[in-house]
Amino acid sequence: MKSTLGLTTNQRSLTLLICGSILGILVAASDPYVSVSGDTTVVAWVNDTAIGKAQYSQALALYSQEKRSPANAKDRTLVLDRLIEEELLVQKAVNDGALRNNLSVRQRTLQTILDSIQSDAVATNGSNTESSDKALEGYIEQLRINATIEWLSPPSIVKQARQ
Amino acid sequence: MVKLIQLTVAILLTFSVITTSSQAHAHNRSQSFSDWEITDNIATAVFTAKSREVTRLQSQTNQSLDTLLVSHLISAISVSQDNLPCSSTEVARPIPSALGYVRVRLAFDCGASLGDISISINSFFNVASSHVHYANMSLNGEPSYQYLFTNKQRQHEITNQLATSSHWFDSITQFVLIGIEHIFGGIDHIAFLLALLLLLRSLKALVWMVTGFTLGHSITLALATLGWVIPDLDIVEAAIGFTIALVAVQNIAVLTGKHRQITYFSVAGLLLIVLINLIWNIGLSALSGLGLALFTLAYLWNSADEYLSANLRLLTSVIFGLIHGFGFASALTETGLASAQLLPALLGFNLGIELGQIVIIAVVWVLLQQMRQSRFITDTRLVIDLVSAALCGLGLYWFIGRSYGII
Repeated sequence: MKSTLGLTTNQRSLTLLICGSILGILVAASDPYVSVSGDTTVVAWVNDTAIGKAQYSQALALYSQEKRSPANAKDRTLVLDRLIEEELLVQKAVNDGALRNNLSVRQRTLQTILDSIQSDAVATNGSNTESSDKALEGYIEQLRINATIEWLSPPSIVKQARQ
Repeated sequence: MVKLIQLTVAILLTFSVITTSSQAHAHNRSQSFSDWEITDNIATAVFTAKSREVTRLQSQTNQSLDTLLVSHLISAISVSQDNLPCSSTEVARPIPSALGYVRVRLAFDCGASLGDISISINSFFNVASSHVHYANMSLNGEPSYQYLFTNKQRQHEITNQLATSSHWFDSITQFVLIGIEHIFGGIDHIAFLLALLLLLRSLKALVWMVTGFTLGHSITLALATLGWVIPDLDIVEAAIGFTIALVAVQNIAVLTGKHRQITYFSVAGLLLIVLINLIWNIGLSALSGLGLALFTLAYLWNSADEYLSANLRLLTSVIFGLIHGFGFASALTETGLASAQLLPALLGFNLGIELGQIVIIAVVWVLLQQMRQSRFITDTRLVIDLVSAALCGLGLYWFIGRSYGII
């Protein structure tokens, strides 16, 4: 039986099925959700690691402050490129075990983490040494709670051995 | 030719409307969680939200997500007793969390009064009205119970008799609502039911289909919620998309009678996915792909025989139900169920799913009957073709997108 399209009804069904299937695969492959819905929490991916919009906006704001003028399209590309390069370097360092093997990297990272916890506490509760110390203590305490720590020798024996 | 273009545009529009709606990412709901311990009028809480969720609060100042959530919660969460606000005993502060999550600890002191504690949680509702907050409350060391906070229900009274039968009943009621909300919010489940119903004409066939699907999803929902089976959620999510595409393809195969060609084509597509996995080690595992290819071969091939297909309806519905049940379970366990609440949660959630499912099936069934009898729709076959094609596209969108981690 001929349908109104000049195709038989069966041909029409199959044509529609093929169109629907191709469309579904193409849409999935191009991930239009990110661009169409305005959900732009991620601006770039570097080896499966996301560079978030918040991180990008922060870097762009700092760049604009330094430049003392609003960022243009070229600046935005530059900032994103910098973040991508930074992420690549971080990934390289992590893969090479720099945090574990390089004493200087380890100390600087630790200091940065400590500073960040304390500055977050100051940002939330105002400039208060006691509260930032407490925040740090609480943070480390939580890390201890969530971690599996196993002493292979009792602490007293370790101490004696050191003496 | 012009009409063919018009039809393609029709599919495109139907498809675009669905995929660009926020619910196309059916399992990316706006939700957050908290664990409360209330002892001697001191209430402490650990609030957890996905980092993605916290970015909704993004302000002009470039604060870190931790700071952003802390600032938001200070104003969004309050505890009171006898209508008197409880004071914060310590400053709200971020604590270590899993990758992709932000956690904040809060504490309140309600003094010496003896009344029931009232907790008000207003987080995220102003930026996402469909946001749901699940709070596990443990009072004086008793097993914890879960309270659901929504845009409409932002406050709960935490009574001193948590473990009473009324709480058990309240708990079931709450999870019935969560179940209903899940099935209505999960457009993939609705799409699947629609695809299944398109060609059903007899009430008997409908009953078999619903019975099989319910049986299947109840089994896997229970197994996964109780922790007896731990499914790979990525595969489950992809398989749910696959079931939609498969049933939509079957509809066209039944209508056209081209079972053999459609079967070969579908199996070839799945074998291509297997090959891609074997060569580049990406996407759905080769074993899963082979399993789906075999199932597709048997399912589409059998649908050519009307008698056999009708006899196997219960079995195939059970198989589809088993896959969707794992999806339901992930939504339930994601709420961070307290062990004492496992049974009422399971019962309530399953009941909610059933209620929602019955409503959806009834509405679709009535609409399809009306369409068949309508004088205004002269070509019902065209409507079924169009809807099937759109559902096939949508199913493939989820299947491919979820298999390769694109969406």
